[in-house]
Amino acid sequence: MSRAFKICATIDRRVWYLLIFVLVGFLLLHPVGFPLKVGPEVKTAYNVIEDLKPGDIVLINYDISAFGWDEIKGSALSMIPHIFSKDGVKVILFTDQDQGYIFLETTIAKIGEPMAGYDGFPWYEVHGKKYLEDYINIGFIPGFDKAIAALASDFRGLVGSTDWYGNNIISWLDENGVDAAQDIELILTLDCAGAQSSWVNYWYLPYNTKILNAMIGVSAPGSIVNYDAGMLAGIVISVRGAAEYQYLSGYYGAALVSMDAFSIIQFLLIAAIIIGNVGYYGWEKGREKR
Amino acid sequence: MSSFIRGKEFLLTIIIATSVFIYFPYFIESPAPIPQIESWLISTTVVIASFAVLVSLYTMTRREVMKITKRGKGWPYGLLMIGLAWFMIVVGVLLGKDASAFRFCADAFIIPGDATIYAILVFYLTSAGARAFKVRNLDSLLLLFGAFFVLMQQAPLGEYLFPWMGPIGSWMVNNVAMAATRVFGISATLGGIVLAIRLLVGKEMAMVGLVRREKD
Repeated sequence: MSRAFKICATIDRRVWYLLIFVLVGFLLLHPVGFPLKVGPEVKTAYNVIEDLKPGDIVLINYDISAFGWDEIKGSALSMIPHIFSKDGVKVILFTDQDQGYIFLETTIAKIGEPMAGYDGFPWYEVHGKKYLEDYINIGFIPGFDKAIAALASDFRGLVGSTDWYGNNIISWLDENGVDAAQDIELILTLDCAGAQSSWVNYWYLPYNTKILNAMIGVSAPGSIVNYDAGMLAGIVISVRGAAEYQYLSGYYGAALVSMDAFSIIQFLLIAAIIIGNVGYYGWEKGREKR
Repeated sequence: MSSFIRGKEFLLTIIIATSVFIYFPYFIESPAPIPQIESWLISTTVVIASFAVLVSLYTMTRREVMKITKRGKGWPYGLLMIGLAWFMIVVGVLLGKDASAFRFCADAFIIPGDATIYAILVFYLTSAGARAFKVRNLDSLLLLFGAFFVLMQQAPLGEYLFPWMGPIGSWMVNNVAMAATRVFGISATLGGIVLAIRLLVGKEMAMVGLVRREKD
């Protein structure tokens, strides 16, 4: 018996690494399809986008850096096409991170296709929405919270007259009546660095702008606080939330596939904790006493 | 004149004026020029933030060059860091942000490297779960119970197999974790207000670089 306890207490960490590698790899390649329950906050987020009306302006913020892309991309690749699928809705793309525009373009390339006669950015068509007709990309503005505050206080002044690629966007903004923060109907912020709190401070509190927030797991506690306080219209938390959104919206992707691996790793973590404690009480503590 | 510009009073005047123009329109309905000045000041911070990137580049290069010349600990990494940073800058400035060489560097090095560092956390986390989460006292037992229920609630399979655990996990997230997050948020906000007031009354001049803090 003590031998079993000793094994539990002295399992090499590389054994755990190997187990994770094998289990994640196997379940990603051969998903089992464990059941998934859709949470109320994701349903609410879905309904907010579903309720968008023609003429509504949606501002999408990419608060995304490379480290969080794999975790947030499930939300990006399901929520953004959902927004683009809504008739008559106009979209402004923006990023508060220097790497953000890379992921923004990656997303557009994945969910859209080049417009007829064009073969590069920004000329992509997504769900029939064409660049400079239905959506624009104002790109990266440095300053993070300062940029978000400046967009709220002087939208046209900060955006200027050209988009990220140097195209004139004045007529687009004029035609769609985008003059100030009050003209934006909805903000979707995809967060790796917790930008939602700045959107709440500078957009929700003064202008009551609706904000949806998808975020990576480490940013979740701050977002849940603001969601429970009614300041965020809906939240999509990490890969789990993204999988739920993909299931709801029908834009299936890697987040949904990864849920099996996600479940198994959570169970493995619990098993590791139990085994560690069995080893600690059965052998390690006895050795300390001896 | 230059001594006046470098003086405490001048900086304090700027801080107070800026604060007045930012705070007042936020809370009080103000006449037309004041919100315009507020907008201008906020937009100006974006420009300052852009210059801050240059300052960070300068300090990073200076620090790493010093480390390399003195052959300090980890100097080869410093060499690699400034080499790659300046390569990206030169390529980006000369060829543009959409140039294939620039995108190649981002796609081939930055994105996979960054994602890998983040992804290996799961390996450390599980191995640490076996080694570190040991019930040594009541505090660690409570922590373990909290982790157990939240993990069960988060895992779709856990919620399916043990549906009664879901509400417990949700209660912990929405009440226990929420209370701690709010305490942190409120404390940080109060600290920020106190710091702002100290700055406005000239008692926190180290923040604007006028006073050096004494070393402990």
